[in-house]
Amino acid sequence: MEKITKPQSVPLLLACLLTIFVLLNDPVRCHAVNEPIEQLQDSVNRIVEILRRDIPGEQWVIKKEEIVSIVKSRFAADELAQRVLALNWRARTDQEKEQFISLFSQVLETTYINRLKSYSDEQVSFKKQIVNGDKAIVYSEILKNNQEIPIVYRVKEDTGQWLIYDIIIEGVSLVQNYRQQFEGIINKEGYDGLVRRMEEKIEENKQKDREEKEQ
Amino acid sequence: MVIKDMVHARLIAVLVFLLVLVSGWGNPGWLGGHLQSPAWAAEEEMADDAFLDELDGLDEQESGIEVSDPLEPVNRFFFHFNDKLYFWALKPAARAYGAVLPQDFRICIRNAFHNLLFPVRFVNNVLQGKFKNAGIEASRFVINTTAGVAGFGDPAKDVFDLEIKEEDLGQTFGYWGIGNGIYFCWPVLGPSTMRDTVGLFGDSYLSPLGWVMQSDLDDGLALSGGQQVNNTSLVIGDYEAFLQSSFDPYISLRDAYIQYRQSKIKDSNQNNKIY
Repeated sequence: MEKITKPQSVPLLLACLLTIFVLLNDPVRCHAVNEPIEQLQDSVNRIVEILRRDIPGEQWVIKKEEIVSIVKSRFAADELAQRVLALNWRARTDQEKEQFISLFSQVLETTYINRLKSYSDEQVSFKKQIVNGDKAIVYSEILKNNQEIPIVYRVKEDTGQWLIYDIIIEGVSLVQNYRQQFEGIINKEGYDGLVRRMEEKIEENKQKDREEKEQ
Repeated sequence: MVIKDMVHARLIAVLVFLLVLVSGWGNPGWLGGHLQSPAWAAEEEMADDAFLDELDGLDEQESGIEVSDPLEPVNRFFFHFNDKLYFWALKPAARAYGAVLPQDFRICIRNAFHNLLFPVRFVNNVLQGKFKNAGIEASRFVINTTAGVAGFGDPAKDVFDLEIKEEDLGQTFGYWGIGNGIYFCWPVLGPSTMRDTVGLFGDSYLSPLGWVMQSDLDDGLALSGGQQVNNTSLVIGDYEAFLQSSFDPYISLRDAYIQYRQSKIKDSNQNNKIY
């Protein structure tokens, strides 16, 4: 009897394994639970909630820290950096790549986060999404001064999380805009020149931040 | 009057000729596109292209829109001129103006100027064969001019859900497949391209502001100055934020303009498919 069951159980076991494997990898099943549009909306909602929160005496720094951590968990910093450097990315050593990712994230953080301070109840609405494998495009709109500004996110899936690697505001891609600027700077001043300019920019933004705090 | 018209006609003819020459009808021509690479660079370039494709994947077709900018030194000069114009004249004026008039009122004035430009949008929708959108624009004009009290309100959108179908001659040329041509940064007018400059010139014949300017230059300039100040008062801080975020504001603005116009032309192509 044993001799018969053994060969029978092998294909059965294989079939089970295959089913489990297929189920685990089925993209439809994974994505249905967590759509990119839902994940982005959730992040935006959480940020808006923090901005609206009105606790007497609460400083902007505390809100800012919370927002930064939400934003950071929603961005693919390495993908973003790679796309911004484009062809110049490959010429970089691993150390340079890491340094660039960190510098560029800081540039974006110091440039853009403080702008949220002037948030005054602008409505953000998410329109639709187009998913293609592990990449997706999410369309949203923000209403400012009675005008809708279209904002489109390019996102990439990473272990169940959809992470932003480009933001397109009114048709203008952030990645392409920085790419063009950085290409020009690298051509004129070399890669070291770009690193210097980024460090200066971060310092300049932080300085502005300090000045605002003193006022 | 006849002589003036003839001069205009000749100017348009020359501009259209230049446009066709420079843009190469949408092909990346000898001025509008990239320079021919030497043969030895071909292999390297192919590897580069593959790398970029891999990076861009989904969004491949949208990447790498560039514009030829042979006049960069002159353009940069006017970019700085405009920058100073903003900080020294436009911004202080808009600030003072904004302090006097409440925001809602300024939005109404912006609406009214926008309503006046209806002929530009209508004709260009027609020129692109978007008759449904042209109809929407016509309805918007009728509703907003009457119920919206001379265009100050926008009941067409607020009540009837009729969205603006923004079109201009530059977009129409783009829709017809005409390329950007070279980039310009005009004093006062700001960023543009050969194609969009010719478009602007053509549109001025459809714009009531343009008509006023032709009959009385001073009145026309005063009106469009007023429009500038009004609209600027609603976006104070945007330009400053733009400057803060950029490393080379000239390049950043040039790229933003080209991308923005490209998306407008593409958008209107897609709208056309839907209808």
